Amino acid sequence: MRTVFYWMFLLLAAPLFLSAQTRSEQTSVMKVSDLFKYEQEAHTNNTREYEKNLAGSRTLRQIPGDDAQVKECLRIGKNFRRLDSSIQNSRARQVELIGLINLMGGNHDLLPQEVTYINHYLLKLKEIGTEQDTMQDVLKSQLRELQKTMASIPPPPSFITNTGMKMVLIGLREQAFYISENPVSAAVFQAISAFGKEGQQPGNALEQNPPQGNITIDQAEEFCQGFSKFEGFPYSIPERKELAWAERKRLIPPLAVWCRSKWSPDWEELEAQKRFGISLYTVWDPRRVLSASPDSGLVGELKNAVYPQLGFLIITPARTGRQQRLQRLQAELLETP
Amino acid sequence: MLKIACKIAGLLLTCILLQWPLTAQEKSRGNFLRTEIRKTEKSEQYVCTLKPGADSFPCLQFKRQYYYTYHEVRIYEMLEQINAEGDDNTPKTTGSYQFRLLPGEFWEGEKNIRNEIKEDGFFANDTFLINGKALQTDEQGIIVANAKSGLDILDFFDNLNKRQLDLDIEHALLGNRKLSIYRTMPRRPKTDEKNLDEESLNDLLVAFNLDFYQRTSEPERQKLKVEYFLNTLEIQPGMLFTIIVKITNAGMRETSCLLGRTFSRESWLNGKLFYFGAIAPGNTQIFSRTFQPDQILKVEHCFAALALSDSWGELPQHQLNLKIPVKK
Repeated sequence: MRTVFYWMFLLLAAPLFLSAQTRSEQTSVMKVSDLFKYEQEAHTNNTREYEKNLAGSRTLRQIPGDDAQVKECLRIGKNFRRLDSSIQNSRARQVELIGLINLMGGNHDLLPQEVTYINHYLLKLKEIGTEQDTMQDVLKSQLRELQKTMASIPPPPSFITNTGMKMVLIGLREQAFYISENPVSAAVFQAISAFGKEGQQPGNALEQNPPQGNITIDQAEEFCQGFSKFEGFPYSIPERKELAWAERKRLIPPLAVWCRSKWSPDWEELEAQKRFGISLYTVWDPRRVLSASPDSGLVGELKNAVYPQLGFLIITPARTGRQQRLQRLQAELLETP
Repeated sequence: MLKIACKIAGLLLTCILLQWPLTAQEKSRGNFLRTEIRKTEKSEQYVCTLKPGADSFPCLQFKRQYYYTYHEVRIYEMLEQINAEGDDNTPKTTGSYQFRLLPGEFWEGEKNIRNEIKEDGFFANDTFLINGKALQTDEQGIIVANAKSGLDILDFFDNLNKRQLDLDIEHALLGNRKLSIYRTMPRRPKTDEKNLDEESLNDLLVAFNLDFYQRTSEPERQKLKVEYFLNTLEIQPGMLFTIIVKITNAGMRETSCLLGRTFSRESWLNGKLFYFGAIAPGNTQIFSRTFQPDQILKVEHCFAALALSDSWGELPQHQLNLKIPVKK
């Protein structure tokens, strides 16, 4: 009786099982088809985006204004990276899809038209993969080109530091650098001193006048360290050659300023300094506020000397202007959706 | 007739020749008696030497001199030489002659010119032109080479590479002289070979009575007390003032060739040397320099450093930082 019952059960269950298996295979083919369509659509989108940005990168030079060019570079670069990331994700998905198709390929129960579809998908996916390879290669080279383009865009003629100091670009090509338009003000000096000692953040609107006087060169150097830390870029006191550029560009400070160069007007003075173990630093006094001497505005001063009429300018390399501009424009890009 | 005349002339000549030894008694030089001055020429001149002065200023001292030129003759006794033997043909020996002193007669020997310089005291209250500057001596015949004199002797030697200063001295009546002043630093012990280093006459440091001889052992470099004083509370534009530097050696060894120098942005305050040389243990040496600020001073304080060095090198631990107030 029990045996008869089993046989009856088997006879009833077998067609159901076979029918379910056929439905499952049909579902997988459908799923593969959907996935393939999705990938094809994603690829079309990527290609459209790719071509659009590529066209944008070709017309970069025609954009008026350095800032606008840099901003466009950043935008295109950002799009390129996003596209690359999207292609990378697509590739991962496509690999999974190919794996699934390969798995299905071993099933002999597929209908012939299903096998044809699957093979077609496989072929198309390979074509998409090849196109993606090409796109990724082009994207990499385009990103490099963008970097070069950004490097070739001249640094901004001036920029404003976080403490409100205006830095002006002077010098030529590799020797170009930024110098503060005015000597460091008392407000900025005190704010940075407080930042260096107590970590107190300087306020936003710091007065740029009057200039800080009564300062030794060591104090000025210490200020530069604190200022560099606060701004995130290297700042220092100018040397003689940099002050010569400032003089050439008629950037004449209203008071005398310290210079990082040691004072060595002639070999005899230099020998005397060596013999007595002492160093003097150069002070640039173009307006003769320290002495009435009609000689050159450059004089040698002891490092501990302080006068109300003696302050300091600061300088930073040209790359600071570029990086500062990049930071600003990147921040703007982040704000835009 | 002619023969007779010739014979008579021959006889006369013979007679004359025979008579000669008897009549021409020879005179010769006897003992030296004295030197006679036949002529004396006298001229006035001056001499200038370097002397130490008060307040670390070199001084030039002028002395009057007379320059004598003596034209001298050596006087000897006059002797007469007498032939003791009648026969002239006899060979002569030491005993053949006799000498007789001729009283009242003297033999004039070698002529000689001798020069002599006689000091005649200080050349007081007279004017000399020194390197083009008219300066007057005081009662002691001294001209102090201070800032007012304009001679700038110390200033000249502030250049460490300068070793000799030539002064052209001129007097309206007595002509020109040249005085060379040396600054030998360090001075080396004497050797057989003479050179400029060993010339101590008119040496600036010798005149200041400073010992700048080179030492071979390590000098005192640590236990030195360096102080400075100003002769005024505040300096004024264009007004002279003095910086006095006092160094006390509190160590156990003497210092060697100790030298100070000012360094400053102000050109009038920069590069002045302060000489100390060898300071014995426990002793103190003072040196002062006078400065004349510019006519316009735009600062409230003038900064300067007095740096020291000795024969072993620089002494940064004893550097003095000067902050000199300016009267407005």
